Amino acid sequence: MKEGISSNPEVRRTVLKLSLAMVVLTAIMLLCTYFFWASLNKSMIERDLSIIGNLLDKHPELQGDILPAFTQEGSLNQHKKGIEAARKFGYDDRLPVNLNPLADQYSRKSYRSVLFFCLLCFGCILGIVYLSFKGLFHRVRETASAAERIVEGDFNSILKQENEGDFAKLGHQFNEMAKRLQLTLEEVQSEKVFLKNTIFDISHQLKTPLASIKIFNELLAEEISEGIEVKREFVEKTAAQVERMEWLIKHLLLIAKLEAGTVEFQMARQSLSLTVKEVIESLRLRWEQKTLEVALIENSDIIMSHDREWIGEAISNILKNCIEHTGMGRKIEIELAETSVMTRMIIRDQGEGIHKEDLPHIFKRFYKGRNKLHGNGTGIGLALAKSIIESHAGIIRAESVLGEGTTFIITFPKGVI
Amino acid sequence: MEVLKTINLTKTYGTGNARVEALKDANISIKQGEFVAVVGPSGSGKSTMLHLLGGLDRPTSGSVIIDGKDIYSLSEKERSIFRRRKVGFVFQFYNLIPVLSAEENITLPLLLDNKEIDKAYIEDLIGLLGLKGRKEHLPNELSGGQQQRVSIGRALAYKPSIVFADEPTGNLDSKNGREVMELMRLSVQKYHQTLVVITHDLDIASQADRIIRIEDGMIVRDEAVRA
Amino acid sequence: MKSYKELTRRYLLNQKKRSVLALIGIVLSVALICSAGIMGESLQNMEKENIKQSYGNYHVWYSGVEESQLKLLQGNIKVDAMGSFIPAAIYRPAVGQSALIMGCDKVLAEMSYLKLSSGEFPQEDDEIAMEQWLLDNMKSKPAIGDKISIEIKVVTNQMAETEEELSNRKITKEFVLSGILKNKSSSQFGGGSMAIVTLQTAKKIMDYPNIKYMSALRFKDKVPAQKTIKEIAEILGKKGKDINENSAVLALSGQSNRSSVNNAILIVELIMVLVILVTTVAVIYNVFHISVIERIHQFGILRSVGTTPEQIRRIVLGEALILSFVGLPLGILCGIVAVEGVIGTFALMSANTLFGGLHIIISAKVLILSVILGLVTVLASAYGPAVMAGRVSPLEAILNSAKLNKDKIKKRKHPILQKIFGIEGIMAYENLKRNKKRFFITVFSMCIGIALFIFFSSFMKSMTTVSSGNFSKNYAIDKPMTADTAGYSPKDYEEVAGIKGVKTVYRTRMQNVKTLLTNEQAADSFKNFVKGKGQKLHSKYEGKDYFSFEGELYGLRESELQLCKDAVSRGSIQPEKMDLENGVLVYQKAKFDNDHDRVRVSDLKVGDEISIITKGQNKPQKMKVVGILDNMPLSTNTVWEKFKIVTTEKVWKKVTGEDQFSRFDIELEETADREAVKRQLESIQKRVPDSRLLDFTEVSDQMWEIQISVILYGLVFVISVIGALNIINTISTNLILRTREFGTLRAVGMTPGQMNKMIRLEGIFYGIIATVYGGIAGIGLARLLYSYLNKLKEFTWSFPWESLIIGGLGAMLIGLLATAIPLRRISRMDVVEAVRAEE
Repeated sequence: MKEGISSNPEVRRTVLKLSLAMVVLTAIMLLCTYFFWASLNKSMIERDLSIIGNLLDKHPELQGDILPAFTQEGSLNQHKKGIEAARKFGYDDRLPVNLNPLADQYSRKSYRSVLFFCLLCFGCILGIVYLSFKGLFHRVRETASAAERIVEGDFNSILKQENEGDFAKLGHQFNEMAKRLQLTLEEVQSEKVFLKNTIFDISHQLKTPLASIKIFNELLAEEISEGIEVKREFVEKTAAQVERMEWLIKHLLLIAKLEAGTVEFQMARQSLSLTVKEVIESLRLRWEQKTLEVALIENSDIIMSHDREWIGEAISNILKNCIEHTGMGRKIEIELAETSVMTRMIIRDQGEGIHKEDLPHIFKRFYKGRNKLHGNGTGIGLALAKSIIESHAGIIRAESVLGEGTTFIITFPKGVI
Repeated sequence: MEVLKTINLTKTYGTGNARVEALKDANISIKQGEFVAVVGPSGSGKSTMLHLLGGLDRPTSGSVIIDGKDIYSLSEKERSIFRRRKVGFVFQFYNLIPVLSAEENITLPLLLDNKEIDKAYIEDLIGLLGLKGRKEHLPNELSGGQQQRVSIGRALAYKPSIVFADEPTGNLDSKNGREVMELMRLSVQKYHQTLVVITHDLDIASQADRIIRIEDGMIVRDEAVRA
Repeated sequence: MKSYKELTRRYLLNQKKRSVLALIGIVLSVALICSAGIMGESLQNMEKENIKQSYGNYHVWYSGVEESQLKLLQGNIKVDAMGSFIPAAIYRPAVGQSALIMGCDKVLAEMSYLKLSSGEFPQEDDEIAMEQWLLDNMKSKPAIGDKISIEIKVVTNQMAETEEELSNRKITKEFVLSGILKNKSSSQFGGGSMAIVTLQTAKKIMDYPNIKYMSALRFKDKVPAQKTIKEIAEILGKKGKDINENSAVLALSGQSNRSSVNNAILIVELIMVLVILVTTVAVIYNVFHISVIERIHQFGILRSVGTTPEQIRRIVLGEALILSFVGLPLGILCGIVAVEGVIGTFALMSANTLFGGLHIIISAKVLILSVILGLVTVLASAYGPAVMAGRVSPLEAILNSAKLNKDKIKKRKHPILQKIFGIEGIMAYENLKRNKKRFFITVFSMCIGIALFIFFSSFMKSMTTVSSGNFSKNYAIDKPMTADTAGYSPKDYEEVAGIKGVKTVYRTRMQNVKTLLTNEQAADSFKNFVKGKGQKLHSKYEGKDYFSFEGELYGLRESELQLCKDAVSRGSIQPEKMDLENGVLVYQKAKFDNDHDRVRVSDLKVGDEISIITKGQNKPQKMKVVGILDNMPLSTNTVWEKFKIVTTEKVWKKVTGEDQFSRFDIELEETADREAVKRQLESIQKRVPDSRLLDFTEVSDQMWEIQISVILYGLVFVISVIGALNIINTISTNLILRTREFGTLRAVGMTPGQMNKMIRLEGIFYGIIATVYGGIAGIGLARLLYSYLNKLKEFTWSFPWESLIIGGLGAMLIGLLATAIPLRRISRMDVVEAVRAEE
């Protein structure tokens, strides 16, 4: 949509100045024209008077007829007679201007004034246009130097933006851009920190199982003569640690990838229900072991654009968490619903619940909190789930009552992601 | 990165016996991208503070600095334009213009600015808010929840830095209210905005990154809940 | 939607009722202004035409112009037309009658608006065109083509000042009647009637060398007349009395100092336009004011979203602009249609009235001016509300109540109100006072309507008393006051009374007498006047000093004296007593010249003695004052009122020694044959030279009155309609805005009946207060008018009770009506809904 420039104060000011100038110039021009014609009128009358005097000098008897001849229109006949008589002296209506003395004198005057006036107009308009451009380019230069300062890393220069008009809007967007840049820089900074922390976490987390394996290895190396039973136990223990390390590394790497944004999701419009069902199946062993009931509640088959693998991973982590913290024989419900604006998944358990003060932090990596998050829960499952969900433009939050259970509410927008 | 800061913000009404100190020396600092909940009992001054933060009202003393700009050093006209571009407001009572359609209400800030409308973005927004089939309708043809969504759309239309919401769910039933809150969070997450919500609903407050509590015009608690 | 300006259009469409109301207001006002302008311009033009017709379509005429100089005049570049004439002879068909035989050319005939009723203008020698009545008086009753032989006195001395010097030669000349001229009531070139011959014929009749011409000149447009008159006078070598300016026509182009009817029309126009503009401003301001107040919440929303105050102002002004674009052309159209329609109807009603010959001129100037005025008014009135809208704080978006908090509530006691109207009355009254400014603006236009109504009614009343007097008459025969000739004889009176169809004849004897007053009798105002004027108004008689001036002595019969009964302020009419002691009634005010107002001449009391000197006498005669008059209904119609002394016929005859009448006022039977009566009256009238027959039926006061009333009352009606619409709009909005309040009242226990009463009382109170203010203004204006007119002539002041009462009732009715519709809504409302009402 093409929109006009008339809301710009600069345009308005220029138009105003031009209008004013035009009014003044027109007034001057009209004034000059008035004087021009007054003068011409006088000259014409003077000429007529000379003619009258000249004629009367030679023919005083014509006194009564001469002036009427000048003030009244002659008949067609008289006009013809005049043409014939004058032609003999070379005076007819095809006489060029420069040969007709009165016309000549005044035409020169007229051309001079017109030229002068045009120059005057031109000068005024030039002046006004120049001033307007000057103002505009000043703003442009302002913007350029602000941009330069930003390149240097100084984010403190703010352009004026609280006016109507395109320069103000440019200023606004420029400022927003500067902000975004600053934000990005900060993000990069925090990512560095994050990376450092991740590496630290990984090494820290790996230290323990690694240490265990080392010990077991050393023990094995030392006590080669020990019985098969002891050897088997050690091997099992080592294997468990290796598995743990594997899981840890895998998930940390996943989070890192996600946070770095280097993951390419395979999005497809597919049944979310199916995704959930697959996850439930994959964890069947775990929940059957605890004789839990896991139910999927939905009104209809929910279709959503998502990456089945990743979302599955997220749901899986949450479900695992629920299973971990729910006692024997209880129920876990997964409810799927959709409204016109969003798709919602609610995972409810009847487990031990989470303390109020821990609740805001459960999605943080390696958060241990009051109650030990025991088991394989190394403390990153929920963090990973949150990352995945947020990468799908969704949000997750948890509600919980100690001793009664925890509810995870995941919401995905229906709009274009 | 700090997006909003107040310095000794104070608002006093009336004189003598009828003197009311609605807000006293409030000092807060909000970072870009934060979700802030402002809680407190009725009449504690939360709404007053929100109005002052958004430039709707003049403080008795103190200043409000948004994106490095002291907004009360601007003239009335400049502050209006500032509001237009930098700030989005969601009120409890929707406050839509009755003679404009839903889409027009949403694009109102853009039109006031004579700004070229990014059609794709608006379509996106309308879709996000679930108003696709309703965009030509007038406010009196929309339900309460839909009106509030239009209101949210209007607040987001200019992609402002901060969105202020004053009891956005106060006039809605719980289902609609929950949906509206989720919508707002989805949007500010997507568009990297800061969200400041006044609420007495603890549920909502619990989702915030930072909670500010006001009682009798004073800030009694201001802490980040999620790091 | 392309821009936020679309909001303007949306709001207009959304508030249909309000927009339509404002539109009606604009249309009506512009229509009124436009028609006032058109009427004014047309009347001015008609006045110009009238003046030209009465006084001739030329600027100046010169006498004693040589034939050789004619060419100079003709050829002068500043001259548009030149007409020449030569007074050739005088024709006296009968005693006291005369006609001027004049030679003139076609141009002069056109300048003098001479028209023929039949035949043609003379072109050959000896052809003549005469006025109808001259022919009537000839025994032979000639027709066109006939030969007429008449005795004429040839003009031998063209420079003569009196009639004796004018001619010393009588001849009998034969003419051929070529055409019959229409009678003219007035003649420009020296009084009396005219007969036209060619210039050639005139010269033939006069038959001596070097006959001088008289030339009338009409200058071209934009020529400075006064200067040119002097220039040409110099060229011709003329001065002083040879130059005769046509001051009436000169005044038309503003070249003379005399104020003319045109100025009066201009002033009336300006006042009307002013009144209309003020009313319009009130209405438009009110409409926009209310519409802004109703939308304060929305303006708050807009401000919170980032609309600058300037943008909001533009939205409101934009609404006003759009309304103007629709309303102005409509208004102009209506104005034109109204004038054409009204005047057209009048013209149909009778051809010979004030508006009969009116050509309606619709000039671009008037239209453009109306448009500009209308536009400026609308924008100016809407500007205040626009600024108010711009100042709305964004917080209004959050506050959700109707904006009535500018109201000041004071506690006051109203015992009277309580008694008459009860508690509902008090509440109604307090409600009115809540917002003084808004209340005033609402009531304002109503006030104007009432004020105008009262003013115009008095105006109409005074006009009618001027023209028709206290009794009805159809004709009057009037002898001029200055002439020395005798008036009508008793025999004439008998004849007039005896005409078939004549019902009553009032007769007046009047003579101008020198009136003498002693120093004590003269009033201070008169003494001051004499001092200031330095006039010689003193005389000495029998050794005593007197003030002396000309007064009118009237002699009336008892029946006529009784007509003056109501005008007697002191003393009484006692004809027998007056007969015995030379008793007189006196009217003591007089106007002596143009520069001063009417003056109170004397402070006479009943029993005082004054002296008069009648015509032909040199001794003063004493008269005794038996009564003081405020008015003299049978007085001769003069522009400047004179000191009047009224007595019985017996005394009059005794004192003057004459037995003649100066005036007859004739009243006809309903069934009389007017034409026949008129002709008979005319023949009797012509017995006294220079007398005139006044025909009151032709002037048709009735019709004139009706037409003026229609226009004036029409104006009042329209203004009142605008005012009424305004009040209805304001009151109904006012009430609807307070729905929640009413709901609360009901919830607290007010019965529907009480609520209705309270609301109705509010409406009535509006009407009453409007009447009070409007009445004061109207009566004030009427009083002003009275004192102005009183300077010219005696007028009676009567307090305009009827108009006041009618106006008051009207206002109250409108106030009541205004509450009707919202009342219905309110009484039907559900209390609970109302209490929760959101606007």
